[in-house]
Amino acid sequence: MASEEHENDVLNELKEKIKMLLSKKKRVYFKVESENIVEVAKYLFEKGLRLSTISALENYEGFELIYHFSDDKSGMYYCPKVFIPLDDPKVPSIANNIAGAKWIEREIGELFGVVFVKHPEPKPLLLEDNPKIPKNPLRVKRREHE
Amino acid sequence: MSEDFNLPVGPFHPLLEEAEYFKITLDGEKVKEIEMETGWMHRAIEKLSESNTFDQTIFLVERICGICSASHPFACVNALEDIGNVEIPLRARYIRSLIGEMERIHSHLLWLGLAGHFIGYDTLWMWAWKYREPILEVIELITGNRNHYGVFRIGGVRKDYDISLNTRVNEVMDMLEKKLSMVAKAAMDDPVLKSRLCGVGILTKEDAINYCATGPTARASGVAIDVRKDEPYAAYDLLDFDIIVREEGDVFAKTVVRILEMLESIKMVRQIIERLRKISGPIYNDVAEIPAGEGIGRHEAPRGEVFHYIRSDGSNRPIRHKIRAPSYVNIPTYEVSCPGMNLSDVMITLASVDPCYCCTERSVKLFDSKGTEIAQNLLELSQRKTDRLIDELGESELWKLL
Repeated sequence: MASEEHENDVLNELKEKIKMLLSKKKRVYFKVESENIVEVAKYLFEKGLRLSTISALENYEGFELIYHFSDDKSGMYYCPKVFIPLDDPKVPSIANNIAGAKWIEREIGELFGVVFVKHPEPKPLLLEDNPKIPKNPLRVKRREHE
Repeated sequence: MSEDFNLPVGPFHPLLEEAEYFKITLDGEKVKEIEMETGWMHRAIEKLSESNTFDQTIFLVERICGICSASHPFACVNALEDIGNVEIPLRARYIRSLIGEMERIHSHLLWLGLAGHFIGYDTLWMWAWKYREPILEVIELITGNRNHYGVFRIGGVRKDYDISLNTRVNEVMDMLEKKLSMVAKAAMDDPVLKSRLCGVGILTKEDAINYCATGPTARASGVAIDVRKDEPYAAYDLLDFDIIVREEGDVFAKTVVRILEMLESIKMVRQIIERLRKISGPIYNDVAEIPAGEGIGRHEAPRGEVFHYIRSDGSNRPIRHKIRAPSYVNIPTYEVSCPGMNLSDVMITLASVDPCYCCTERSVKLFDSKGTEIAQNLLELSQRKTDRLIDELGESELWKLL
């Protein structure tokens, strides 16, 4: 199939840095270690892919960041996933290479408390500086025994 | 020696449709830098969605935006169908595209009117909004509402299209095509409009790619992306239409792209209603459940690509629902399109991406440390304030003040 060949073509050079998680119709999800994400994102971006957005979510094990790269020529989505621990949520920022990621990373930073290392302007995007507003409102509130 | 001057615009300003704050640093009349602050339009949609069932979620996301109210449910059902690999009937695919294109026409007309108003060309504003009314009426005939159509459901659509409406729809399309061609000619050949808009607020192709811009903002800068062509959904792979691309990247190019896109949409609406005459069958497939998994859905809204990511754990609620509206990636391009311009050109540049702040800032629900919601009930807060004033002043004094 044409899309499969294309998929191999894009991901071939990244083979050592990624671990395939799921590949279905027009969607590829793969795991990337957090120290490699800048390189992987840069590589995908230079291949002509567009960063749609970054989704963050909180699991029991840690935070999951999903970078959605859209290949507008074939309609494919390449989604590197980065897993980071809850107690030390740090991940290198890709905003220095992709200007479109600036707002996205700022939003995740304030809603989840994820620290994007070397972000060009690490300040909150949506919430105002007000003591009444809780920090990181999208964090899951777990009960003690969990 | 000139000194830098900071000019605040907003959060509430007559020329902004919604609340947004811009700090413009000026050197004389020239813009040196523009900073944006957002956050006045929070409605906690992403968090709320986690407590709603999938069917309720579609109605919830429909309320994100008042103008392009089909875009978010369209992308949302696409995402849910991506999780479950749901097939939808042909008739439903056409009806979905019909709503999408009708919406594009009325949304672009709204923008055209506003853009005309911002540059003091009120004739264009009145033209555009006058011709927007018939299309809203047709949408009301088809869906029952001028806005917030409530048409989308998982596996198809809720409301069938009545073939007897074809005559009326065709009439309106004929009228619109004639009038739009007139407006297009009047606007595109007008020397005053050209000198006002050409070369203003240029977004280069490199910047459009670097800022990941989408929709007419990107297409006016020479980036030929359109979800309808790139990853066809609904009935877009069966329709004949072109993507409008301009290379200049200025406000004029964005205007031209939008006007020509409306004509493409009219072409599509005509094809759709003609084919719906011949296609019979169900308008939805029953979907028993959404399995565990993750799905990406997108739709080419009037302003660009709407992106929804939904993670399901097999229950009837999403465990994460990420929403990315097109304005979210288009608004930051001001950083590169505004500096170097005259202050008088800033407003039309800000308007040129057709920003929609309601869509951009949809994401937070606030709790205090005890777990109670803050600002959950504005009405109650307002009543409490009135009560307090009555206590302090007495009712008769308060009425005198009002």
